[in-house]
Amino acid sequence: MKARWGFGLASLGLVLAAVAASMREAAPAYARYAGQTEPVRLIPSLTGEPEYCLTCHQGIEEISAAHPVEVFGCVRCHGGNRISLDAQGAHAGLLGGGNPSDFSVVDAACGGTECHSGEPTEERDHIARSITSVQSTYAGAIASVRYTFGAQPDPTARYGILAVSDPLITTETGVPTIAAFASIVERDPQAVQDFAAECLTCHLESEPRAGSGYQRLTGCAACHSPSGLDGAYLGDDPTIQADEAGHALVHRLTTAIPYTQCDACHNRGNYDLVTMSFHERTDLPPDRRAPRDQDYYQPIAQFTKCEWELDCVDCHTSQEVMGDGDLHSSKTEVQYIQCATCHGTTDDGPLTMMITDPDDLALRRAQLNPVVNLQVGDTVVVTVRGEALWNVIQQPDGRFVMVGKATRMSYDVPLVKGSECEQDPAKQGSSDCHVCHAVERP
Amino acid sequence: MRLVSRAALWLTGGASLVGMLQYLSYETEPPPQSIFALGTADSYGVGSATIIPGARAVLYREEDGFWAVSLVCSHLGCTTEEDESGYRCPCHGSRYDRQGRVLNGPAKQALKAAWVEADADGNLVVDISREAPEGYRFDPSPA
Repeated sequence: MKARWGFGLASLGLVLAAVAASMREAAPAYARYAGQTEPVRLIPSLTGEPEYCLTCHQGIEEISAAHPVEVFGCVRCHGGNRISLDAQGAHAGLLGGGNPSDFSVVDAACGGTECHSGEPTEERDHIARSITSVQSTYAGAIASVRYTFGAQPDPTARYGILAVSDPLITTETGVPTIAAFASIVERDPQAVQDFAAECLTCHLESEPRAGSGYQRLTGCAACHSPSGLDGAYLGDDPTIQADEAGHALVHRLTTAIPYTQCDACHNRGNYDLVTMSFHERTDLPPDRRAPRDQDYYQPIAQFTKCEWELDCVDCHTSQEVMGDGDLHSSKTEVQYIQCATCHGTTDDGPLTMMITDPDDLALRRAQLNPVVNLQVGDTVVVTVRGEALWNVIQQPDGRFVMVGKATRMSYDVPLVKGSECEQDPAKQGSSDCHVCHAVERP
Repeated sequence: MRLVSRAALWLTGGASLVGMLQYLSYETEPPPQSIFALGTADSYGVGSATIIPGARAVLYREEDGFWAVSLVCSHLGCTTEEDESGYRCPCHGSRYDRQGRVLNGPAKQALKAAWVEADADGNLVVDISREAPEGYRFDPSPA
């Protein structure tokens, strides 16, 4: 009799298991995303290997025109298990969580000689440049603070957020190697230790400060995947909660970087190096939703109108922002764009270059962000280091016109030469221009 | 009780059978298509260049026969598009002439030539998985 009951219960259990399995088959876990009940297969032409990520991430935005999903798919950059249909299995081995551009995984995710770790001569060394840049190493700030508090005899960079070496120094100010700051900070004066504890939230590998206005991702995405004030995702991927912080606005990589993205670090307030604490700007609304003219850059500094009407990337070049490949001891060693770069001097117009090579880097950059229809034969402004400002083009009548990389707005660029400017030829720095041209923001 | 047990047994057996049939009838998804039918040779005039969208290739007919060029960019595999000088990659800007030779990078290698031949019925087909040697031409006229 007991055996019969046991048999009956076992049979019932089997029936229930079979029913549960059938129901699960009919309504798989991924079906909760917009009701998708069939797996979505994609075979990216670059890998030729089927992947099923879009089964759940249906509707997600294409990351950029340079990375079409039918060519790259998802796994080439994000890693993970391409054939798993449950979130846990699919995300096993994901590179950098949701952010494969984090510097801890960026080589595996974005590297490759044809991608972002190619030759410097072809300007394909984006990863190496970014990792050695002062925005990543924070070596300038660290050296400056250690020097100020007597921990080192001069302000030359010795330490960075991570240990990095540069086998090929191309500038007079480049240093060959820096060690990890964390490896020695315990032996430094207390003030430097406080600096290490309280003031390292700006570099590209750090998590941003909490709160509205500070949101950004890490690594390349810190700049190239713009975030909203609260870090909420506003795109169409149904797997991401709309009220969850820590995301870019949408799944996007762009070189059309708005000033608001730079503001996430550069317009938040200041570190007080006496108390080693961060002081928020107090002239902005608490939620940081300020109009452009109030939001732009530090309120203590003088700026001309173009500096808050334009976006930072309209003037500051790739080598300034992402570095020139060398390890530097101060941002001043790589930050060299001046008013004269575009406006010239009382004696000369800006430096220019006619594009003659169809492989010119300026054309490649304009292709990535086609706010101008740049062609071979066009003349563009170049910096003193020869880097093209490809969005500042000389017109047939000799005028120079800048097109905003993020706004697409056109601006006539007035020249100093021939104007009423009475500038001292020996004083050509931007600060000299600000003496007359700084404006009261409305 | 016996009735209940038997019913449960039948149900279990039935459910298992359904599962087994589902398993056995599962069709794996076909591999990506590599051979594309192009119709009769007469459909293409001498001097014509016809883009075969599904194949991501362009079919040329010249005096000495048919040949095809893959439109897959040799840089990273995006599909190139026609422009005034030939083909241009919308992803990274590589440009090629009509023969598929590189005009500007980042691509360093020419577009691949694809294999053109006739099927058993004498209709043209292009096989994009098979690279044709340089200068390859397919002449559909009987020898």
